[in-house]
Amino acid sequence: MNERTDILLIGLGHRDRGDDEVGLALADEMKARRLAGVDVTSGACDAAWILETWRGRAGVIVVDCIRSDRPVGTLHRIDPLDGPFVDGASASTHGMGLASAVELGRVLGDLPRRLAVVGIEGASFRLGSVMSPEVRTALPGAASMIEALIVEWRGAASADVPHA
Amino acid sequence: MAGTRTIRVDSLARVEGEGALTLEVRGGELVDARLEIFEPPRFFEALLRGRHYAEAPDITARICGICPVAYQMSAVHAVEDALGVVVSDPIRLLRRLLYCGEWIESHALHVFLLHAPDVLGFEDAISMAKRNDELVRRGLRLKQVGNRIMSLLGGREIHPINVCVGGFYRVPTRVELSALEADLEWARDAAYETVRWAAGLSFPELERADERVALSSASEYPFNEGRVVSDRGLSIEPEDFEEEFIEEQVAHSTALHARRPDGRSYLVGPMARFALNRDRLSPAALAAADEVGLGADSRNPFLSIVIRSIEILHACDDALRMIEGYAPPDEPAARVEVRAGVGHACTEAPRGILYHHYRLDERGIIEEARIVPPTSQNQRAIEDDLRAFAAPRLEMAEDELRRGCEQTIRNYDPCISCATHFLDLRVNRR
Repeated sequence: MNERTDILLIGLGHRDRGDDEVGLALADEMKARRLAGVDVTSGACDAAWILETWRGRAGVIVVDCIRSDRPVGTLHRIDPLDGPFVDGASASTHGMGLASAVELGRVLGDLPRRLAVVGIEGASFRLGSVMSPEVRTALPGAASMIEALIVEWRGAASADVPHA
Repeated sequence: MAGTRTIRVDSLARVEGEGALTLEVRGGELVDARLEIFEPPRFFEALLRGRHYAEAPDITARICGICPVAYQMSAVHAVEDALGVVVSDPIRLLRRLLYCGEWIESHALHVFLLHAPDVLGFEDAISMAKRNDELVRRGLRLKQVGNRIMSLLGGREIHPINVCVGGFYRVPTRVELSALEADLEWARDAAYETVRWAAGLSFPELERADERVALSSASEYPFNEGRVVSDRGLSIEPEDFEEEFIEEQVAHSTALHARRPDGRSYLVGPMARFALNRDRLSPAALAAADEVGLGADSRNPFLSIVIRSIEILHACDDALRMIEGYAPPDEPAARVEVRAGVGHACTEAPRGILYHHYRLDERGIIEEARIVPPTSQNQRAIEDDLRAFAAPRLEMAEDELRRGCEQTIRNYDPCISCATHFLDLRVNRR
């Protein structure tokens, strides 16, 4: 499997739920950029779906909205392979989302070899509302972060394999 | 034991929404057991008023991430009742198939990732996966089989967008449906193994005698159709639902409590469905129930994990049967003529009867909406179970008792977010 053509970008979130849309908007943006060797998909935040979607992929970038009491629009890069992703991952019937997928994947040996979460800090999740201006303004920066990450991974992959 | 003792769980885990549990013990006697719900009310019905009937399935689907099909099905059937719409057999079948997907998805999540850790003594599914990865893998794969049916028929897994009054915006081809068969055949076998596994687990002793209420039709295990019946002789059409089941506010819950007119609690959901429809299970599901010795008189709520497993098996069987006989309808949706009217419907959500009632004006605008979700109906039964479970176990170590009570609540897979649909607001002005 050639890692140069095996990066999957997964956008998570819900439309019409304010800043929760940002993962989907970012996935749309990356799809429009038609980056060579990068597949883009998006969906709601369901652990079973996430685990199945990234199965067999060498490199996966998940984009999602994040809440951590930082200023709205703050960009996050999290490397879940470095350690526990979030405490208390499986809280509710409907809440088995990304954190549960990461922790279940870790236990089941179903994590990609490279995995990063790129998040944008959100604040408003009201039903029927649109993304806040701060989050929308942060989109280009997040897209650049993703492109830089892909370059970084490809550089690492090149260093890993002998040149022909 | 003298004095007063309060046992409390401030935040219930592995249920949807915000709830707590309190037991009050005085002089060694259990004097109160309360399931406290403090999830903010969501005012679904007010949201629907003034909207066009065609929006009802999509708006109500947003109420719940795990049972959106139930909301869509109750919404379309109630609106069709108001408008006098009759759908064709293929549409009826596709709706049932979509519902099978939701039952498989929802029950698999509960059986494997929420209920199994309880029974096996693990903190959560992640801890369980460290010791029994096969069980977790089976649950995740079963859930995905349900998701795939939802995606194909509903347009996406969560909050489907392909359901409309009269039918669907687009119906699948035979080839598209056939592509689900291999997954469903695997799922049917996995569900059978799950029934055998679940039946072999050890459960606390608890016998409950609440009235059991479910839909029932002559020919099939209920999803979308049937009369509302009980094991105490009730048999009504959905239009009489509000006469027989009363919702009222209690001080400790932002979700209305439902009761029978004489004040008694009652039970909806898999236990009630199974009790009242056992003989209409698919042959394989019925044989599995026979094999593990589970009869219609099973009254221990902890056995709900076995019954959910049997219902997964039934849903897989039913789905395969429908796919095999599928002939696409001539039109994806029946023709709808707008008129003023009142409509009612009950369908069987994974957690039990979900009632919708709409009044439409002559333009098809919703003037009045009423939704009664299953968790709202089961709150009293849950509290009755808590009393029955805790009263003879007060000498238990407090942690153990607390854990047992939490499990008693999780037997119902309660969806608190669905239940908090209304709050009676009174303003006292002096």
